[in-house]
Formats: sequence, structure tokens, C-alpha cells
Amino acid sequence: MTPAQHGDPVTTDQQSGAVTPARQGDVLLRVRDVRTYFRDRQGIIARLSRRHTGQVQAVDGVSFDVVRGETLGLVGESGSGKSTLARTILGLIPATSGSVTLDGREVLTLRRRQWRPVRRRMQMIFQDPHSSLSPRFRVSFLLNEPYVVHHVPQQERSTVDELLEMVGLSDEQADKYPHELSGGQARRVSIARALALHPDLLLADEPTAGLDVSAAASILNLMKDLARRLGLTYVLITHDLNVVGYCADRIAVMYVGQLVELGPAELILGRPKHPYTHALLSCAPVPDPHLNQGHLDNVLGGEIPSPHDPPSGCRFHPRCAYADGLCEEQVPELEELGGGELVACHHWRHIDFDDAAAVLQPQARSGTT
Amino acid sequence: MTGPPVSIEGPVTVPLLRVEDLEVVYYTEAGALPALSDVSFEVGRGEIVGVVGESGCGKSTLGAALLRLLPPNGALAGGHVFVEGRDVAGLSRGELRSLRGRTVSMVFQDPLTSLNPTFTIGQQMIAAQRAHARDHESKSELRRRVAEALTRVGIPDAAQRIDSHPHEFSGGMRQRVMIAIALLHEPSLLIADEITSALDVTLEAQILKLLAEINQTHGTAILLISHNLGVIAEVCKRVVVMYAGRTVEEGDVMSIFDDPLHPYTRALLAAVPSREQRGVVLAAIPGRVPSLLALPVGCKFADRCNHARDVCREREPAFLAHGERRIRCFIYDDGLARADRPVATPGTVAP
Repeated sequence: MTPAQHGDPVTTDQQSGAVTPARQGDVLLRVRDVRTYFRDRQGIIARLSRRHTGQVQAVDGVSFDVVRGETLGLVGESGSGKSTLARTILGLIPATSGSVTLDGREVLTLRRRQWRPVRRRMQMIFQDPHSSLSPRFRVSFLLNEPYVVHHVPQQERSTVDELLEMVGLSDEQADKYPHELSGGQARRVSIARALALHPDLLLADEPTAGLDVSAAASILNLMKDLARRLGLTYVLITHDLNVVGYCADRIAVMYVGQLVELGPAELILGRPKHPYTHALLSCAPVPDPHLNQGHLDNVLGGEIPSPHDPPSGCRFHPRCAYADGLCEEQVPELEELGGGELVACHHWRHIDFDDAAAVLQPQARSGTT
Repeated sequence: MTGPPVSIEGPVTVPLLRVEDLEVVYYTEAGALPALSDVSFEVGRGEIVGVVGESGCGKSTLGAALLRLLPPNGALAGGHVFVEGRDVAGLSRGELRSLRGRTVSMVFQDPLTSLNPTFTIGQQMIAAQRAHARDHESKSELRRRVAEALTRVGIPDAAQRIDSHPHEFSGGMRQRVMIAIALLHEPSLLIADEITSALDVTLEAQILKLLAEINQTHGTAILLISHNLGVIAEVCKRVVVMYAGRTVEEGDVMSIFDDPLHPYTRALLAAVPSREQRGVVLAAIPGRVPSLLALPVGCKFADRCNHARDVCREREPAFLAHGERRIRCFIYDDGLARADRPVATPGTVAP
């Protein structure tokens, strides 16, 4: 648990027992035991008067592989560390420890200048296109910018029209400023910008957040189509389970900086093992009034704890209906179940979500509702 | 402007909220924008009714218009809003003040902009109480009532949290505070405008559960405005679908989700991604909601509709009863000659 010195990432191969290359295939991105801690920036009075942990464990020991050509969905509530993890993988936030390899090459130890060729291969689509596209430049400039930054020779560049066409926009959009675009169009421009450098891996942070159903559907269609045409690999970060259910090949579930379950989408959605995954799935609103009968009866209570002071043992235990003394004391290991499934829960074997009475004594839920 | 009477069979009972041919116009430099026109629906006592549509369809304008909370350049240009049988347009300032908060109250999407960051939750709630207090009550009595209201919406340690400032609450808790404020005077109708849109699924489910409980225990009717069809399906009994400032379909939630009739309702439902649709190309609706500055002449959805005929581009269909529902589409307009009527082809868009 003690973090390595900053800037001294550790490659933990002894950890690989707890990690799956889920499918046989060519691993593009390998993440091992990545930790991202932030220093506590509270003032001196707060430090003296309160219990002071000194750091925020935003990402705390996450390991997974991404196979070339797949879409890995990363889900969890806000505050679970999804976006921090993505930014750490891209080197936008320094990792406290751990290892990230792209095609077998370690990237976390790279110096600033060495990052550049790596970033050409890993691009991010940021959550809010209107704040990630500079309001002062026209779309044509914004689409050319990656080439200028990376000194791409003229003959290797795609034209603005080609990029616009790739994301289904007309060439009239080239002369517009970001504020003249609708939410869906701005999202398409960010995707085009990310694609300009022909990356292998795209980290998409909530690509459909804030869009209407119809605009969201066309963005998802576009992403799928691009994956097929360009052989892209996605890490899709979202809190919308309908979206991961539709797109992802595998799903990783995060809770307060840690992975709690990972596996093929059909297994995670069809037969979740971790109580948190189950709770998330049963909360997701489904546009079918028949399926919602009694749906709200077992809503997950409480709120996600702060990574500033995470609960002892299993971090989910204060909200878990199946938690007991063991969960309070001991951190569950990420256990391999075969079939590419991993789960971190002491009791998953004994939990039957359809028959809540048959489990260990469910603790009264602390907190509200 | 007087609209056609809404057909209700049997003895006329006064519904809690009745909106008839409502028109709202925003006056801007670019001209008068018809934000709402020909909007009609009802909310009965104790009923939960959803309002759904894409952004720009006038959902929030509708919520604001019901309480005459439109911005200064907006005006009710026609039609009526009856709350318990009284026309809101004719109310004096004093009457309006007692309507807001006491009979109808509203909760908005972003609680941080509705709460004053410099006052404690308790101070703000006491002020809200005093606004409608009948006689002078002691401060300790008011504090006790505020704590009670906070406990009712599921805020733990309410007696202590009363002296916290808004920033000390999480997003979900702030939304609970807003609901507590809205319920202080036990209104008959709560208008909830996208109140779960900024929340995680887990908190969203908690807030929806809270709304359902409030509805059951206090009999408070709720008008739930949301772009999320899942949210609507979860708690509403009836639903009103809006498009380009108009009501296009209205009816029972079960029947509308099972068998959407208006092409727009169908398209909306078909665009929602789900596990079952893996590998299928999602049916995104082509085009965009038309700009209020350049609304097409006939049916406002005609340009995006795959059933549109000539008649759809010439005249606007009326909002007509069709069985238990009301629909604005020529497909279901029996007054139109069969030859002119567009044909619904069920199955092109799976519900």
C-alpha cells in the first residue's frame, strides 16, 4: 500500500496473477497497479483541526489489459476515479506508482518530449467539447492543430474536409467557431481532432453526456463505425450503463479508485457478481415501464465515499447489504473466476441477488432512504 | 384566444392543472420566437405526469410559464393555465405569490444556482417559511419545522446540517434540500425540471424513489420534466411528448412506451441504446429540432419524419383525441381523406 516515490513507477509483475488478458489476443494497453495520489491541499487550520490523511487516493492499484480492437467500458459513479485513471494513462496527470505499457513499451517513465510520439497513438476525447475546443479558432484551424503540434509532414496530413467527412460533418462546418456548433457537432469535431493523428487507442470520456437521445445515438453509431473502419480500440468511460451495454466488449467497474469487477460484457450485465455492479445495474433507468415494477424498492442507499478518507476493508462495505465484519476489516483481493472474469468481493460465492433472504444476514443499510 | 373545449366525459371535475392551447412568445432582436404554441394537457390530483422531448422543445419554458416565471422578454401570448380552476394569467401579484410555493412549487436542475451560497440552509429555509407564514412563529419553532422537512427528504442528522452552507452538501443532498424547500408549504403540485440530470444513476434512483414516496404519502402531484425516457418510465403514470414547442402525444405511460403512435415518439424510443440492441445500428433521428426562427409551415416534425406526405408540409395537424390518447399527426386524423393521409408502417421503427 505504500506508494513508491513520485516519478519512480514500479513495474509489478508479481501482480500479474491478479490480472487477466481477458481474451487471447494482442494486448495493446497494459495497466499494472497504477496509483494516482494527490497531495492534500487543505489549509493549515484544517490540517490541525481534522484528521489528516495527507493524500487523496484517486486511483489506487488498478490493473487491466486492453486488447487491440476491443471496446473496454469503464463504469462507476462520479468520484470513482474513472477520469483520473484515463488522464494518468495518457500522462496528463503524473502517476504515483505503477506501470502503463503501450505495445509493450513503458510510458509512465517517459520524459515530457518522449511523450509526444506516444500521444499520437493514444488520444483522448474529453468530456465537454465546448471547453476542450478553443472558442477563438475556427474548426479548420482546430482540426489542423494536432498536425502542427506534432510536426507532421504535409503529405501525411489528412485534409480538413477528409476529417470532417470521416465524422459525418459537411465541409461548411470548417469555417465555424465552436460556439456555432450544436452539442453533437462539437462532439464530432473533438472526435475528428482525436482521429487526425491516426491513433490506435481512443480514451473517450463520457462521449454522450449532455446530448439528447437522438444525438447520442448518432455519436455511438459513429464511434462504432469508426472502430470498424479504422480498427480503433476504445476505452469508453461512462456512467451510463445503457451506453456500455450497447457498445462495450468488456466492462470494468470502479469504486473509489479501485476495480471491483471486470469481465466480458455479457457476464457483467447478465450475471454480475459484485454487489456494487448489481446495484448500479438495478438503478439504471430503463425506458420500459413494465420492467420498472418495484424497481425503486432496492435502490442503493448512501453516497460514494470521498477518496480522501476511504472506508476500511472493502471500500463498498458501508453501502453493501451483504457486508459483515470481514468486509470491514479485510480488503478483498481481485479474484480470477475463469472466463476472463475478475471480482473483488469476500462473499460473491454466497450471494444470490434474486434471493436476498438466502444470503448472510444483510446488515441494515446505513445512511438514507 | 379561446381554444376548443377539451373533451372530458362525465361530470366536470376541476383538474389540479389544466393547460389549454398555451402559447408563449419570447421577444428577441431577431423577432418574436413562438416558444410554445397549442400546448394542452392536464394533471390530476396526486398524479405523476412526465414531460419529455429533446432540448429546445420547450419543456423548461412550459415549466416556467405555468408559474409565470418567464424571463422579462417572454410572455403568455394565448391560451390558459388553470390551477385548481383559476386562470394563472389573471392573478394579481399577491395571488401569484400565494400560488407559488403554496399551491405549486418548482425544483430546478441545478441546485447550486437556486441556493444562495452565503447563507446557511436553515436561514434560507426559514426565509422560505416566513414568506408564507400565516402568523408569527418563534424561531425555534421554525427551526424545528425546517429540521423536520429535511428529515422527511432523507437528510441524515438534519438538526446539525441545518447550519451548513450549500457547498457543504453533495449534489444529491443539495437536490434533496431543494425538494424539502419546495415541500415546506405542502403544495398540491410539484414541478420538477430535469432534477436528476446532473446526478449519477444511483443518486438519480434515490431522488426518483423520494419523489414516488412524496407522491404516495402526501398525495402531491408531480410534473416531471426530463429528456430521459428511462426516468419517465420509472415513475410517471402519464406522459406528454413535446416537439418544437407543441404537445405531439399524450397518454398513459404503459401504452405509449408499448405502442408509441406519433412518429416522433417512436423515433425517440428507438434511439435509446440498450443491451438488446448490441450490434444493431441505432436509429438516430435525422436532422435537428427546427429553429424557432424558421419553423416549417406544416407539421414541425415533417422534415425528419419518414411518413411525411404533402399534406404534412402544407398544414399543421391538430392535437386530437385518439382512443385514450391525444396525438398531433395526420396519420390518426380521421377527418382527412384516406388518400391524403400518410400511412403508419409499424415495424419500421421497433418500439
